Amino acid sequence: MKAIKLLFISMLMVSFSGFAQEAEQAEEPKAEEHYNINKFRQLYQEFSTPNQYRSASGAPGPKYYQQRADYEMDIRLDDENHHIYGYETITYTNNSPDVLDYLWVQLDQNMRAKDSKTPLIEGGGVAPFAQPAGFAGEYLSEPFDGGFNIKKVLDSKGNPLKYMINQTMMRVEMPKALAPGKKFEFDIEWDYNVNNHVEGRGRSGYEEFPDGHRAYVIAQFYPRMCVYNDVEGWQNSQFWGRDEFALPFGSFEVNITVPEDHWLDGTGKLTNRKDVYSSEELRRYEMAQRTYDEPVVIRTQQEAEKLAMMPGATKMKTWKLKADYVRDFGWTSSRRYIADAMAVKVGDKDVMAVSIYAPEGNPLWEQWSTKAVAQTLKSYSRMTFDYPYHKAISVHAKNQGMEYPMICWNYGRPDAEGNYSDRVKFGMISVIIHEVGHNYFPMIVNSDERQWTWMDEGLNTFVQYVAEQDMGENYPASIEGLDAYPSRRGPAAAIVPYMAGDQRYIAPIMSKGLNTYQFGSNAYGKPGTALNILRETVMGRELFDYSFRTYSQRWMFKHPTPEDFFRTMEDASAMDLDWFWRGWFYTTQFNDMGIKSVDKFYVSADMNQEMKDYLEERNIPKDRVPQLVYMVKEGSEDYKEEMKGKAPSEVVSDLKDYMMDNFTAEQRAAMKEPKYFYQITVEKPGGLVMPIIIEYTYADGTTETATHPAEIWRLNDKEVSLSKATQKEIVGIVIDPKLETADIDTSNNSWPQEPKVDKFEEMKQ
Amino acid sequence: MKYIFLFLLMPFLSQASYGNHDADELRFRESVNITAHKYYLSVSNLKYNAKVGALQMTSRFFIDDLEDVLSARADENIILTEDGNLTKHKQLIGDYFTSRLRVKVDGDLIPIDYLGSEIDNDQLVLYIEIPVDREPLEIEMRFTALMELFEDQKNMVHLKIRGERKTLLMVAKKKIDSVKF
Ligand SMILES: [Zn+2]
Repeated sequence: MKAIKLLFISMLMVSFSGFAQEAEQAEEPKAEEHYNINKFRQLYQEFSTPNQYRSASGAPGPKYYQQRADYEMDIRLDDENHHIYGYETITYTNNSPDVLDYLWVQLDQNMRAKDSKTPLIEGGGVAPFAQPAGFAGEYLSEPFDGGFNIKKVLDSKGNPLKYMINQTMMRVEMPKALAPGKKFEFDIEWDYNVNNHVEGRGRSGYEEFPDGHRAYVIAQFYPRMCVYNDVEGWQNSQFWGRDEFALPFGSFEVNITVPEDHWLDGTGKLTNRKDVYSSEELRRYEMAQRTYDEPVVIRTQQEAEKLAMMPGATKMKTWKLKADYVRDFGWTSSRRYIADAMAVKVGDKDVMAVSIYAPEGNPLWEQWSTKAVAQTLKSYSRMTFDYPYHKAISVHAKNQGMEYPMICWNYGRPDAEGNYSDRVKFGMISVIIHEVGHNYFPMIVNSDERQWTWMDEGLNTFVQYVAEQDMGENYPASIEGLDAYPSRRGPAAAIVPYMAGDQRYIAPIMSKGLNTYQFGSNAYGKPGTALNILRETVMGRELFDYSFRTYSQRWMFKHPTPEDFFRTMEDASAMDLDWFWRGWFYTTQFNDMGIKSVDKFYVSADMNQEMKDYLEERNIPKDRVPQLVYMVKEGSEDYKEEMKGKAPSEVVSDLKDYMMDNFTAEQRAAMKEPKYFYQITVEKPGGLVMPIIIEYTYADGTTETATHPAEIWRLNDKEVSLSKATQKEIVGIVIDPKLETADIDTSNNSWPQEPKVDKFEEMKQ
Repeated sequence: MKYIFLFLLMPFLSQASYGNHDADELRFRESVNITAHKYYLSVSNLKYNAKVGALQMTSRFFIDDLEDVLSARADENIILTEDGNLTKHKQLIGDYFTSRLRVKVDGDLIPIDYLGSEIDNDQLVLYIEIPVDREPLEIEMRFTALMELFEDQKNMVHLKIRGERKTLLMVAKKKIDSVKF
C-alpha cells in the first residue's frame, strides 16, 4: 500500500474523494510508451467511417439502398422418390449506384453434392470410435447424391445465359451490364434429391415414418439471389453448412404441387384456400380466425392417422402461396399432418398462430405449440415492432430448430407412449419461441447471418429470454410447479462457465460464426446475456427498451451491420457504450472483481501522522496549519478506541463553529452527520470493465445498494477505492450480490470473507 | 454391446452419432440445443487444501448427458433430477467417475475419492478429493467422462496450484493432459 500524502482543505467535505492522491512512482517499473489503450476510448479504429449509406446515428443514411429480388416459382414434389423439380423466374432490381457486370446466385443444396468441399474443411482426423450409423455414413455408404441439377438458365426471351458454378455459388452473365435502377429477368430450371434430415442432418429434408410416409420440411430448395450492398459488394461467401444466410427482400409467388392428400403450408398467403381445404377444414379455419384463447384444430389427429393408413394419393394438388417483403421462402408438406390455429391480437391486427405436426408430436404439440407462437408474437412485438405478417407457423420436425419467414421447424417429441419429461417440454417451448422469434431477427431486421451470427442469434436469444419469462407468467400451467420459466440463457450467471473457460477455445463475439469454438455460447449465449445485462444493469429497462425498439424499427425490412446496432443504442439513449461493446463484443475479456481491503476511519481534531509527514517534508511549522478535520484509520498509530462512532461536530470544535455560523437551526437539525467512514478497495483481476454493484449491510440488519458506473475504472483498470460515510456501522459488504455482472469468481466478493460452507466436509458426513 | 442399441433408439442420442464430416450436423447440434447446452463440455475447478491434505475438485456436468450415460451403463432409466436420487445412485456415480478420472500427482497414480454431488439447475456438481500430502509440482489427468457417448465431449479442469492458474483439457483425441507448476 502506498503512503497517502494528503492535505485536508475543506472543513466540511468529509469525503475521501476529496483526498488529493500523490502516488509514489519509485517502486513501480517505468511504464512503456503506448497507444491509447484506455478501455473507454471510442471505437474509431474498429468502426468504419459513417457515410451517406449508413449514418453516424446508426440509422440508414440518405443514400441507403437495397437490392430487390422477386421470384415466381413452380415446384413439384415427387414424394415416392423424394425429389423436387423447380422452375423459377427471378426479377432482380439493381437499386445500387453501381453497374453490375454479373449476378451471383446461391446454390445451397450443393453443400450436399457428391463433390462438395464441406467434408474437406473438417480437420478432426480419424474419430477413435463411432456409433454404427455414423461409421457407416462415413466409411461404408456411397455419399448422398444431393446438390442442384441446374438444367437451364435462360433470359426472358428463352435464350440460354452463360453461367459458372463455384461450389455453392453460381455466377450468371447478363447480355449487358445491369445499370443502376434497371431490372433483369431470368429463368432457372432445376431439380434435386431431397435428403433425409433425420439421418443425414440438415435444416431441410424429409423424415420417413415407420408406415413409409414422409413429412417434408423444405428450405434452400431454390437458387436464391445473393445480397449486394454498400458494405460487402456481393455477399458471395460460400455456404459450408453450419453458417446461415444473407438474402435480399422481394416478393414470392409460388405454386407447389404435391399429392392431393398432403397438408401443406409455407411462407406467404395461401391464395387458393378454397381449392385445397375441404369445406369442413375451411369452416374450422374460419372459426380459428375468431378464436383467441385456445387453438382450433383444422385437420385432426384422427384424420391424419386415417390418411397415414392408406397407400397415399397419386393424384396431385397445387397450393398457391404469395408473399411480399420476405427474404426467403420455406414450406412443409405431408399426409400425416395435424394442423391447428388461433388468432392473436397484435396491435390492431389479427395474426394467425398456426401449428403443424405429425401425430408423433402429441400430446405435447396440441397443448403448447400454438400458445408458444402466440406468446412469441406478443412479447417480440412489444420489444420491437408489431408483427407485420399475417401468420406464424410452427412445424414439428424431429431434432430440428430452424427458421424461415412465417414458418419454422421445431423439435420436442414425446416417447412412443406419449410420455415426455419437463426437459422435453421446455426444450420444445423454448425452441418454438426462438425460431418464431427469428421472424424479427433476421427475417425482418435482415442482418447478414453468414458473417455476423450473433446479430440474429444473439439479439434473438435475448428477446427469447424475455418471451420465455412472459410465457411463464401468462401461461402458468406451462410451468406448473415452478415459480418462473426455467430459461437456460439470459441470466448473467449462466454465461460464467463459458467466459471463465480456456481462452484458447473462446473467440470474441465479433467473429464469423463458422470460425468459432463453442458456437452456441459464442453466438447465442454470450451476446444474449450481454444484452440482458445491458438492459437490467447498465442502461435500465426504459433506456434500453426505447433504444432496442429504435434499432428494430430503423432496420425493419433493411440490412443492418453491427455498427448500426451499436450506434443506434447510443444514439437513442445518450449513453456512451463503446466500452461495453469493446469489452463484450470485441474481446474475450471476462469480469472478475473482488474486495481487496476495507479500512475504517474516524474523525479526530488532532493532527494525524499523514499531515505531520507532509509538513515536515515541506518544512512548514505545525502552528501555521489551521484547525482541520483529520481522518484516522482504525488500527493506525493515531487511532484511539474512543474515536469510534463519534459525530464529527462533537470532536472538532471548528467544525461545530462552522456549522453554527453557516446553517440555521432547522438546517442543522436536518443534517445527518456520518460517524463511520470506510474506504473499500476493489481490485479487478478480470479485463472486462463493468459497473461495481456494492451492497452494504448495517449493524441493524438493513442493507443499501449502490451502483458505480463502469466509468469508475477509467483511470485505473486494476484497482479503485470507494468511500462510504454513514451514520450506522457497516458489518458486511458484498460486490454484485445478485450475480448480475457475470463475475467469474465470487469467492473474493465479500467482506468480511464469508465463512464458506465447506461443501467437501458437508459431503463427507 | 447391449446399450449401443439402446442408444440408437433414443432420439436425443442419435444426433450425436454422426461424425464431424457433415458440417450441417454441427450446425444442427447448435440449433437443436438452442435452449439446452450447445456444447458437450464439463468444467472442473481444482485446488489444493493443505488442512485436509487433498486436492479438492468440483466438476460440473450437464445432468441430461450424465443421465444418458449412466442409464446406458446401468441398463435402467437413471433420473438424477431429484436430490433423493443422488443418494440412491451415489455408488453408481462414484464408480463411474472412478473409472473415468485417473489422476497422477507427481508421477503417482492416486485413486480419487468421490464425496457426493448436488444439483445446480441443469448441471450436477460433483465433489471429489484426491488425497496428497503436499502441494503438487505436476499433475496429469485422464478424464474421459461422457466421451463414450459424445464424441465432442470436452472435459476442462482449471487448476489453482501454488498461486498459479492453469487449465487441463481432455478430449476424445487427447485423453491425457498434464501440467507442471
Ligand atoms: Zn436461432
